Amino acid sequence: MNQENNNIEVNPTAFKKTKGFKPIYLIILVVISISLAIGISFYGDTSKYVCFAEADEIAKDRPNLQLHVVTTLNKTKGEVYNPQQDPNYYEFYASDTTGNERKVIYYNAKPQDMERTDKVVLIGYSRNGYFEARDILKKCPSKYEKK
Amino acid sequence: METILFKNEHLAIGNFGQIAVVIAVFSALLSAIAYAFSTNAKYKDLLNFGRLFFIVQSIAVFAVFITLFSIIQNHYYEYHYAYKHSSNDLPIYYMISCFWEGQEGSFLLWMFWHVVLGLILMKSAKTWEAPVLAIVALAQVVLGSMLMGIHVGDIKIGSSPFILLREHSPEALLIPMLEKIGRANYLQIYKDGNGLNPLLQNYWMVIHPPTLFLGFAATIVPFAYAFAGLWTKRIKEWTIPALPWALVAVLVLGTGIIMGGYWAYESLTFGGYWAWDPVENASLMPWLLIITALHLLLINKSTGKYPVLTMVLTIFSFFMVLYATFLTRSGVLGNASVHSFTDLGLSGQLLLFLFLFIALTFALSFKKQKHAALFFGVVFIILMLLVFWPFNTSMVTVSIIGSVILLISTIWFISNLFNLHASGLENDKAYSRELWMLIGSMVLLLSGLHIITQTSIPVFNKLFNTSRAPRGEDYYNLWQMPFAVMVVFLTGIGQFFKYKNSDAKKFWEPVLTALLISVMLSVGALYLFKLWDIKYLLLLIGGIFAIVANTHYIRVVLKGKIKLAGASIAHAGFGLMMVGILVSSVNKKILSDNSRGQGFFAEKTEDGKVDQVSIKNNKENILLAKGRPVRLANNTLEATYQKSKEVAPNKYFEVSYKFFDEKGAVKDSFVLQPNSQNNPKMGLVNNPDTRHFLTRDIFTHITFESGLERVEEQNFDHFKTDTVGIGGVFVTEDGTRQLTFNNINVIEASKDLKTLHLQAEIIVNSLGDTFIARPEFISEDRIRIKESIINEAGIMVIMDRIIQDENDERNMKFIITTATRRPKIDYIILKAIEFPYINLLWGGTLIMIFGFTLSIFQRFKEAKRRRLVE
Repeated sequence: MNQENNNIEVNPTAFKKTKGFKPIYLIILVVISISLAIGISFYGDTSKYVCFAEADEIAKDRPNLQLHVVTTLNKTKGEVYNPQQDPNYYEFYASDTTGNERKVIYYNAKPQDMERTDKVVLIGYSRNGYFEARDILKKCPSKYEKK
Repeated sequence: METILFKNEHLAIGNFGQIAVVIAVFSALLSAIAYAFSTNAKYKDLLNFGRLFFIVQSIAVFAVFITLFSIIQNHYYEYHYAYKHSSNDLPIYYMISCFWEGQEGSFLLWMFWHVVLGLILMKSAKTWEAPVLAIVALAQVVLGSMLMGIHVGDIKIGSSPFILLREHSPEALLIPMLEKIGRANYLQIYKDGNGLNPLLQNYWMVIHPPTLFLGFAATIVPFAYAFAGLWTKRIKEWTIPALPWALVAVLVLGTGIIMGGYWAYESLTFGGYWAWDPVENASLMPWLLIITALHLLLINKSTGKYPVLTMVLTIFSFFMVLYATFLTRSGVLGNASVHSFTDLGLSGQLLLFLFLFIALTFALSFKKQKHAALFFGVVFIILMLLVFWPFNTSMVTVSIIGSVILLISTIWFISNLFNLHASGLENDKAYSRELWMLIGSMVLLLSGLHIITQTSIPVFNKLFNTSRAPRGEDYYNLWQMPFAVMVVFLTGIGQFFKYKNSDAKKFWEPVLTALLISVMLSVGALYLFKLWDIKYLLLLIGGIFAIVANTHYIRVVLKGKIKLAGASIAHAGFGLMMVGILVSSVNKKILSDNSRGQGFFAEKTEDGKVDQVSIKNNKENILLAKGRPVRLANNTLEATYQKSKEVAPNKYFEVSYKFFDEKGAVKDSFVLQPNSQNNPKMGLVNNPDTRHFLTRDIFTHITFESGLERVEEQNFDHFKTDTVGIGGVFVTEDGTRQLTFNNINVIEASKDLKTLHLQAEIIVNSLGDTFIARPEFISEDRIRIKESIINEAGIMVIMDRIIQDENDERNMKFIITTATRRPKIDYIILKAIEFPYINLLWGGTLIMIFGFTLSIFQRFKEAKRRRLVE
C-alpha cells in the first residue's frame, strides 16, 4: 500500500497522462442516456386527464390504460352503498367538465366524507356503460374560503 | 358602507404583529444592503450596520412569531388565522400545530430558522460573514414580504397572518343570525374556531414541520457559501465551510421527511408511509440534490476535483427548495395531489423569488462586474415580463421563450464556471474513490431528476397546455428500484477505494469477503422474509451488502473507531432501510381480504371472457358484525368487533384480534381501537390504530360503520298472529325468527282487576342471536298496547289480547302479532393490513441519522482545524 502511495506522490502527473480509456467519458455517456430515457419516459405512455367521451375512445384500443377524469358529483341521482351486502361496492353518478354524466363504480368502501365533497378526480377505466374508479381524489371545499 | 364600531376586538396585538412584519422586512433589506457593500474593502465599516440590522430583523421576527402564537393561544377569533386553524378545545401542544397549519405560519417558521442559522453564522462565519449573511438577509426580505399582505394597485404582496376575519371574509358578517344582535357584536357568534384538521392532531405533526423547515432553511447555508465564493472570487475555498452545513441540511431534511412518513403511517388511512404524492416528492427532490452535492463536496475536499459540478449541485439544491415551495404553495399541483393547499395568490411572487435568486447567482459567474449587471438585468427583466405577461399571446409561446432563456442562461452559467475554475474534464483511475463516488452521485442525481420531471407534470401541463396526468406509485417504484440497487451496492464498495488510486488487491479482498457473506446472509433472509420474487433479489442482496461491507469497513479499516465511522454507519443504515422498505412493502398483506365478493362483479368482455382488470379489484374491506368473530387470512386470524364507545368527538371501535399458529393455538391476542371522528367542521375522519410487534405491525382502520348508514326506516311487513301459552314456541311469517313465550310479568294489578299492566318476556332467536322482546298490555278504562321493537333483529312484537281460561284462571293464552323487516345490525367495515419487518426500516433510519450526526461533529471539527491552519 505504501509503495503504491509513494509512486503517486513521486510522480503526480502519472494519473493525468493516462492514455486510452477514460472512465469519465463513459460516465457522461451513461448519464446522458439515462437522462434521455427519463425524457422519453416522460413523453411515453402516460395517463391523461380526459372527459368521459375521450375515455371511451381510449378504452377501445387500450382498456388497461388508467385515465383521470375531473368530475362533479351528481348527488341528486343518489348513490348505492350497501355494506351489508357488499362492503366493496360503491356506486354513484358524476359529470365531467363537458357536463356528460356517467355511472361510476368503485370496488371499495365508500370514501369518507363524500357528502361534503363536490369535485372529485376519478382515476380508473372506462367500462361498458360505466366508469370504474380505482381511486377517488377528493377536494373538500372549506368554509369561508374565497373561490 | 356605514362604519361599525366592532366590539370586543383585540386590534392592538394584530397591529403590533403587522408592524413587526414590516420592520422585519425593511431591516432585513437594510442588513442585506449593508452586508453586501461591506464585502468591498472600501465600505468595510458597514459590516457593523449589517449586523445591527440583522439583529433588529431577528427581534422583529421573534416578535411576529410570539404575536401570532398568542393570538392563537388566546383564541382571538377576530383574526382569520386563529379562526381558521384553531379552536377552543385544543390542548396547548396542538396550538403549536395550528401555528404551522397555514401557509403564513410555515413561512414564518422558515424565517425563524433563518434567523437562528443567521445568528450562528454571524458568530462563526468569520471572513465569510458579509456575503453569506447578505444572502440570508435577502432570503428574509423575500420570505418576510410573503407575510406583508399589502396591496399595491392590483398586485397583492404577500398574505398577512394578522388579517381580521371580517376583512378576509366580509360574508362572515352577513349571516342572518347577526341581524338580531347587530353586526358590531359578531364576536358573540364567532366564539370558536374552525379547529385543527383531526388528521393533524398527532404528536408527529407538532415536530415534523419544524424539522422539515429547518432542513429547507439549512440548504441556504451551503448555497450562501457557494454564492459567496463566486461573489468574492474565492471559488475554491468555499467548499470547506460549506461541507459540514450540507451535512446538517441532509440530516435535518432527511429526518423531517422520515417523520412525515411515520406520521402518514400512524395516522393516515392509505396504509403506508410513502405514496409518491407530489407533496412528498417535493420534499424529496431537494434532499436528493443536497445529498449529491454533499458527496461532491467530499470529493472536492480530498482531491480538489469537479469544482464546477460541486458548485452547480450545491446551488441547485437551494433552487430546488425554492422550486418545491413554488410547487406546493402556488396551487399548481391542483388536481394532482390529495393534499389540498389553498392558493394564496402568491404564485407570481414565488416565481419572482425563484428567478431573482437564479438570475443573481448566474450573473455572479461573469468575471467583469459590468457583464454581470447586464446579464442580471436582461435575464431577470425578461423572465419577470414572461411571468406577468401583459400582452395577448398564447401561453405556450411565452412558456417556450421562458424555457429557452432559462436553458441558455444555465448553460452559460456552467460554461462561465468552467472558465472561472480553469477546469476541464478530469480523468480518474478506475480504482479511485472519487470515480466511484462520482458514479454514485450521478445515480442519486438521475434518481432525483426522474422524480423532479414526473412531479413537474402539472407544471408542464400549465405551461404547454397539455393534459397529462401524474404517475401512480407503481411507475415510480419501477423506475426508482434500479437506482436504489445501484446506490446500495455503491455505498458498500465506495469506501474501500482510496482517493486518487488504490491497490486492486487491497480493494477486492475485503469487498469479495463482504459480498460472499452478504450472499450467504441473503439466502437466510429469503427464507426468513419469504421473498421469492427474482426481481427483488438484487435489492435484497445489495441492501445486505451495504450493511455487511460497511460494518466490515468499520472493523477492518477503521479498527472500530466509531467517531470516524459516520459515513459507514449512515451507509449501513441506508442499506437496512432499503431492506426494510423492500420486505415491508412486497410482503405487505391485506388481512381483511374479502375473497367472498371476488370476481362477483367481474365484467365479461365481448368474447365472453372474464375481464382481467376488473377481477384484480382488491376487495380489501370486510364487514364485522358486533360480537360475531370472523376468520380472516386463511383462518390464521380471528377478528371480532367487540363494542364501540364514544369519547367526544371520537367514536372508538374495539376490535379484538386473535392470531393462531399452525396447530390452531392462540399465538397473539390483542385489542385495537381505530376511531372515527365526526368533526362538524371537517367532516368524518377515520383514524387508524396499529399494534407494533418486533417483527411486524398490524395496522387497522374502519372505512364505514352502521351508524353512518342512512337507510330510510323500512316499514314492518309480514304480519302474523299466533295464540300461545307460556312456554309456547312459534315463528314469524317468513320463518326466519323463532320466538319463545318465556314468561309474563305483572307490573301493576288492582284488586278488582280494573287496572292491569302486563309485560311479556319473549325470547327472539334471529340469525343465531338471542334478544328479548317485552311487549306490554295495559288495561285501565281502555286497553292500550305497547309494542316491542328490536332493530337488531328487525322484528316487532305486539301482545294484542289475553285469553283467560274460564275453568282455570292460571291457564292463560296470549295473542301475539309479529311483523318483520330487515334487521339493523351494529357493524363496522374494517380494513386490516400486516406490515412485516417494518421495524427494519425505522431501525435503518435511526442508524442513518446517528451516522450523519457523527459525521457532522467530525466535519465541523475538521473545518475548524483547517481554518486554524490557514
